Amino acid sequence: MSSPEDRELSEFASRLARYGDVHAPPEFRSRLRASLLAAPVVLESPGPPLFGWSRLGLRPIVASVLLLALLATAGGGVAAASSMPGDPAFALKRAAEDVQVALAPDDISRLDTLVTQSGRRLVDLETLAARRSSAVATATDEYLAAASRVETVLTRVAALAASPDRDAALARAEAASADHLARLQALATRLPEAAQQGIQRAIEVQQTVHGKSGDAPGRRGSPVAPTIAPARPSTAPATPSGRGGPPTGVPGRP
Amino acid sequence: MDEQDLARRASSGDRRAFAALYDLHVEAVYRYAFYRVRTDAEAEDVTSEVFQRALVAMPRYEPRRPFLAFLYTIARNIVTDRLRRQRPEASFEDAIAHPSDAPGPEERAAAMDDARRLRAAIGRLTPLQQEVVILRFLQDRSVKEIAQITDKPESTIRGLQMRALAALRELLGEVRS
Repeated sequence: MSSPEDRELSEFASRLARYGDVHAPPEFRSRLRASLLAAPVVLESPGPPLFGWSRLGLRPIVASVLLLALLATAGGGVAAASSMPGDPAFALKRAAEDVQVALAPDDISRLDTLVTQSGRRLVDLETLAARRSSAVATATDEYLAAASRVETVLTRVAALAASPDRDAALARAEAASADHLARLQALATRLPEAAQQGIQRAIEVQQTVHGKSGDAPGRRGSPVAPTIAPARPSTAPATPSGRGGPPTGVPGRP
Repeated sequence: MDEQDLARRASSGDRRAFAALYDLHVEAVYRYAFYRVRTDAEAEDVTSEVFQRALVAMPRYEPRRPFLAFLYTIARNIVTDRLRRQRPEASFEDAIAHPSDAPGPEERAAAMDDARRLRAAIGRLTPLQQEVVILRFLQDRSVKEIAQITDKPESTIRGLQMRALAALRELLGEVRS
């Protein structure tokens, strides 16, 4: 690099680094981080498995057996099932729900399961809000995490090729999110200050869910989030069906 | 705990380890996405998708490889897929005259205006030139790393970098005039 032209280019290159300095918006950063932390554990197979049992898909089954054993020894199965956000046994209930998600055969049934779970979190939130419980902010966070998990899996389902199973699951998610939005907007007027930020973020996530489920390629939905509350109860039932597929564009081992 | 330890723990499902890797690399991934697509919103979409795919693909991550290279490879595939699906690109003049993002407070910041102008100019380079300019001169990656990410020989990257730089300088000169 000795000619004047090369030197000029070199100076231009050093200016570029400063010229092109951009940063991710902080709100976007923290929201993506939260959704990654809340996303259900759905890891791909690590290529050729080391042990036969993982190839047979036994890992989630082993996990569920371990969890059931834990519940039995703790004697807290019933308490966990009826627990609410803020209760000590709620962590067990959540762990059981994670196993349920892990056992789903594909992303379509996983989406149904997560939509159902987010419906439960909304009922928890409404119940605690009606009781004026101090756990309302915790319940809001739990609902937000549940909605973020729905959004993550919905993004993958929407990217699948159009099929009756996929479209039905997206329609269920869209209907549930419409219902949730109306109920969240009603709740927002009654919740204390501490829960307001969480509820607004939850509304934003549900609007995203609603948009993504309606806008998925190959299906026509309502892209605008509704504001009229439909009748309760709300959530769609989990109906395992259809086939999932691995995401594309992910590099593997060299 | 070093990056390899974090990656090993993230591969076995440790979400906090993955979050730590995210904290380390989200800015680099966002910057790459920012200069490879046309709008800020698209850059956010690509960044989200990169980390969502990486999370799912962690068991396939080879720990000897730099984690950022793994992320760049995913980002590169996502950008390529998006470009393939998108309608023909708006003209350079349109990109300058009608930015696609709604104006907000930060849109008015002079630094971001410069960055968007640079993005529009980079968008006129060939895809490989874009990657070399972004990774080499905006992200400060080595020729060897870029060769790994783009799956091209190091000699190709070395030969391309000055030509890409010259083309970019010319494009920016056009914009400023």
